[in-house]
Amino acid sequence: MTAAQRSTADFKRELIGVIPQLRAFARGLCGRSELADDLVQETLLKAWAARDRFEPGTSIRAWTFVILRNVYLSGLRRARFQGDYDEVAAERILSAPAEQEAPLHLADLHRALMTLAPERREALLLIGAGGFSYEEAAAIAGCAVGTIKSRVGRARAQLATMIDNGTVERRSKRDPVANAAIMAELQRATRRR
Amino acid sequence: MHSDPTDRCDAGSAPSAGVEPEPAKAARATAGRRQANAVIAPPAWAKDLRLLFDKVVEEPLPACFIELLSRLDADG
Repeated sequence: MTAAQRSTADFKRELIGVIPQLRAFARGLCGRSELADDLVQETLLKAWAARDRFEPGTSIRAWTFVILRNVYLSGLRRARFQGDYDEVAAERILSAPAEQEAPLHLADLHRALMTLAPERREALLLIGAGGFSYEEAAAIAGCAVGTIKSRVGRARAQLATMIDNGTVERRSKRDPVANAAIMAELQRATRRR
Repeated sequence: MHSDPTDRCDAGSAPSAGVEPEPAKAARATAGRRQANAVIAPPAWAKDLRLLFDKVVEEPLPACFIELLSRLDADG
């Protein structure tokens, strides 16, 4: 095996290892399992095409999350991957095994998460679920650390209010008001990129 | 006998603990810490958020992803 072949094999192995995390991040961003897996497939295609630019020894997780995020934002602008609540996923959570803690609460949380603005949802997913540091999350989102902290804080406050008050609303792309708000937030977010 | 009611401000200390130097101040500090902790302590849903994420991570990996990478690898 040549050095190049070994390098490609290493890259492929690392890429396979990060797919579950990519799926979880994508599912959190767009809320629909089928769209999320499409998003991951596009991410893998782009990552493979750009594999020469990946520096071995650095975090492939962070590197691929950046790619996935960019694919997601591009798709969002084309009205793909929009944060529409996944009824199938919710049903699966609701019918989860009995030992799972508070499945209804999880379904509410999932729904509440999908009502957040994309930039806040992303920040919360990276920090609160993905376990990235603020610095890593800021690098992935292409913004300042303070911005990530602010987004996480606002997302947490918004989620806490919705859950505490029991006011988790649907935010569907079929709702023109909600959709306009999503697109306005997205445009603001992408203008800053 | 010292009977300053502020001696009992710290509900967490035993009645016989004696006189605290500045009990009222200590109580305020404790309350302040509790308030600060209430802000930064992870709420229950934070654990659930992680659970939602981990549930997806732990799902069996669909074969299509491995097939895609194998195809890309074969294509060079």
